Amino acid sequence: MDISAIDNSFLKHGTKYKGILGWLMSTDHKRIGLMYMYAIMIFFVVGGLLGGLMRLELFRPGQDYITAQTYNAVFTVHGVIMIFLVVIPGLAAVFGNILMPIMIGARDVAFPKLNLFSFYIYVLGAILAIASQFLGKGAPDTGWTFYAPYSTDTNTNVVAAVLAAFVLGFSSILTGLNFIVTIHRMRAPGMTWFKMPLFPWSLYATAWIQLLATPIVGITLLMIIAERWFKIGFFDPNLGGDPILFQHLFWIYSHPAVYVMILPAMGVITEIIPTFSQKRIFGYKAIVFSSVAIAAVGYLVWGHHMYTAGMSTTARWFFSLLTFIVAVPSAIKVFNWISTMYKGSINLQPPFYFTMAFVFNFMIGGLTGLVLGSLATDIHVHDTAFVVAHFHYIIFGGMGFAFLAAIHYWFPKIYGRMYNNKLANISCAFIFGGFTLLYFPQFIIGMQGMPRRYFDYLPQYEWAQVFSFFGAIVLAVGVIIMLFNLIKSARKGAIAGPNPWNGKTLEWTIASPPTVENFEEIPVITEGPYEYK
Amino acid sequence: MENSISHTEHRDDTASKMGMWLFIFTELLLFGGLFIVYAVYRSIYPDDFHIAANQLNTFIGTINTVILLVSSMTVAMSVTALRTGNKSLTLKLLATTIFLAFLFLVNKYFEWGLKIEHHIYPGSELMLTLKRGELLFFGLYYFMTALHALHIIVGMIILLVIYFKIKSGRVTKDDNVLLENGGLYWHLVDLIWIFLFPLLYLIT
Amino acid sequence: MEQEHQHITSYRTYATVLAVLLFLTALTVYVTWFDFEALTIVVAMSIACVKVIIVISYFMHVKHDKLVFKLMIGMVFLLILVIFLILFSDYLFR
Ligand SMILES: [Cu+2]
Repeated sequence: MDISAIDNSFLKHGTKYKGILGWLMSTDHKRIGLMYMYAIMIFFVVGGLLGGLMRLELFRPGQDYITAQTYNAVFTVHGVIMIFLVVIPGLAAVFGNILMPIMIGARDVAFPKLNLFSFYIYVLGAILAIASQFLGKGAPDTGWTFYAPYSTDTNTNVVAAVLAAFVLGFSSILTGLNFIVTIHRMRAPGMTWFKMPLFPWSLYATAWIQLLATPIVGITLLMIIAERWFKIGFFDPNLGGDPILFQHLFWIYSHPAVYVMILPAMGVITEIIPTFSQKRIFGYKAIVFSSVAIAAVGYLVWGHHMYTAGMSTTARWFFSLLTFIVAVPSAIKVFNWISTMYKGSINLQPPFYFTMAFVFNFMIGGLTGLVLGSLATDIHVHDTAFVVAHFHYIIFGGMGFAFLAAIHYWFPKIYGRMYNNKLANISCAFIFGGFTLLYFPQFIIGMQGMPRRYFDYLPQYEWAQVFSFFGAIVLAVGVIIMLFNLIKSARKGAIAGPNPWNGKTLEWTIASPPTVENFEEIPVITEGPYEYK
Repeated sequence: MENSISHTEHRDDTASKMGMWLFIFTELLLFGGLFIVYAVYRSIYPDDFHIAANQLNTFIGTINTVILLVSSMTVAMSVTALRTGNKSLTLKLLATTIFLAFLFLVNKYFEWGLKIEHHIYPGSELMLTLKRGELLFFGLYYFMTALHALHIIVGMIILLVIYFKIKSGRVTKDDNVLLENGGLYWHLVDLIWIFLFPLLYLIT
Repeated sequence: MEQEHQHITSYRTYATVLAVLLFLTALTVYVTWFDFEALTIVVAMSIACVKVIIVISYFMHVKHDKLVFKLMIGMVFLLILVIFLILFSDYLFR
């Protein structure tokens, strides 16, 4: 294999313009996906540094480095950046963009210009989010949830942050819209719905959530702004409003948003496991239906964030039931992954290690989610470090590890080069070890009563905070090793060839990196996506 | 089925229309969020809502409903006109639609003007002395009708752009999906008003 | 993906539809003169729903569109309905 594949690829050839404009104005889904990836990586590092700052402050009890007000601002910014700028666009906008059209045998998404437009809306939202930190009367201190009535009263610069979330939501909607139409209309001839690979399937389910849940938070955020400017009183109890209604509306979006993060992550894992087991996926249809079921039921469980807020008992009972139901399709997926590996010829490569870490973390995150989903136990751990540990296990341990697995899986496809395997394995070990050391102790002190969002604590929790601090350092070292390995290999790695893992889905049938057109001839599909002999 | 599809940007009208419908869904849910807020506060303050709704002018509301329904028909007819190749009628029907939209906004202007004259507007001192439910009703009234009016303005701009595209021959008898999508958007504005009208003006 | 056969609705159908819609508008205003007590909102919303269905079927010509459009639209309205039901499991039982 020679270097010519790279010279002919989308990396060197723009659609219309040359040089830097060829990237910034490109409507090529692969270039747009890569631009998202670089932006998201930068924001991930920024958000991670803010998280590190919090861990540093929590290293010892009492005030050490930052004031309580600064701490409030830091966890708000950390949340806003990580949720709205990193994990929600994460897998869908990056790997969905780069690979979904290829996996369904298309040359691009249905609306390429709209795709570029959503990227620029994302950039605008990012600028607003950053501006909210520096403009007006101080950085917002509401937490990323913007709970009313505090968010309508505080003097900090909430409007800019809320507007940023609104704009970013719009970007997410347009990506979802694009994907739905692409999957409906642009599958290769012969690719029926049930011959479509499972990553596009998970993106399809995700896209519907993006489309149908985001507008609700959009209008809610607009109401917050209207309330701040015009004193309308939608959520202010002094003016007759009901603050719990804000929580309802906010979580109608923000719970499904969890599935916007985790469904594509499950899709990635579902692609990686058959490839590295060299075996057909176990229970294809069960996985499809569980994705759809997660999207559908997951939309209706928002109230489990509000058990202690003052809802009616009937509603709490109902939300708890639905929350337990939504755990079923998630568990089905885990069983399917494990059954796929059973008696397969397992190939222990870095993407597979990241995948195993994902499955492990996801199970801990999912099971602790049931602790939070049941009415009695939730009262005990509500708003404690237990919740913090739980959602970091899902968001970072789940979605984050799936993202890293996806990078290591599709890296040779995207850049046409291979990274250093050994270094990748080492970084995986560091990241997984650091992650566990960082978040697992938080479960324990959360059970013992350590509240979340506090910048000070009782001495009895100190041991865990020390563990977490060193975990964060190990994690950071792992991320640095990984970034070093990937950045270096993208330029100088060994040529990978079109199919280094012996994958069966369509992206492995074309050159690495793909050409601008993806396919010389659109393939005709006759069999399912995972037909290993 | 053929083995390859050429990469010249092929047209897929169904895809464009599907995209438009998906966008309409997001708009429906956007207003859906507002209807949720309305329903909740109405269930908490039924009497206050009753009293407040009585102060709105049912006559202007009804006139505006009729205007929007007629404009919906004219824009729907313009699609028929274009498809049957009658360009001048298409343009006339579109112009009528845009004019009716303008009329709607003029009515809205007078309606709001009347309310503001009576010192009922968000943030006014009188508003803060009203009963909590009435305050919320008027807050919702202004928020919902303002957002709806914004959609009317966007719809007018869209139809205006399409008007000139038809005039200059970039939207034609055979390539008319843009007009169809513009029409769909305009019907959405109508759909929302069909719900807003009874909820704001007729629950007395 | 060739152009599908396009259904052309006649001017007359549109005029009839408008007449029906105007009649329903008159009806919904007219019934406010009577007191149905708790049912007022039900009556008003039922008429509004009929109007919406007519607009979607004829003006937005979903009646002649592919099945997938009908399914999607049905799903979205069902979703909005379910959200209302679940939300009111809180507000009605507090
Ligand atoms: Cu949740």
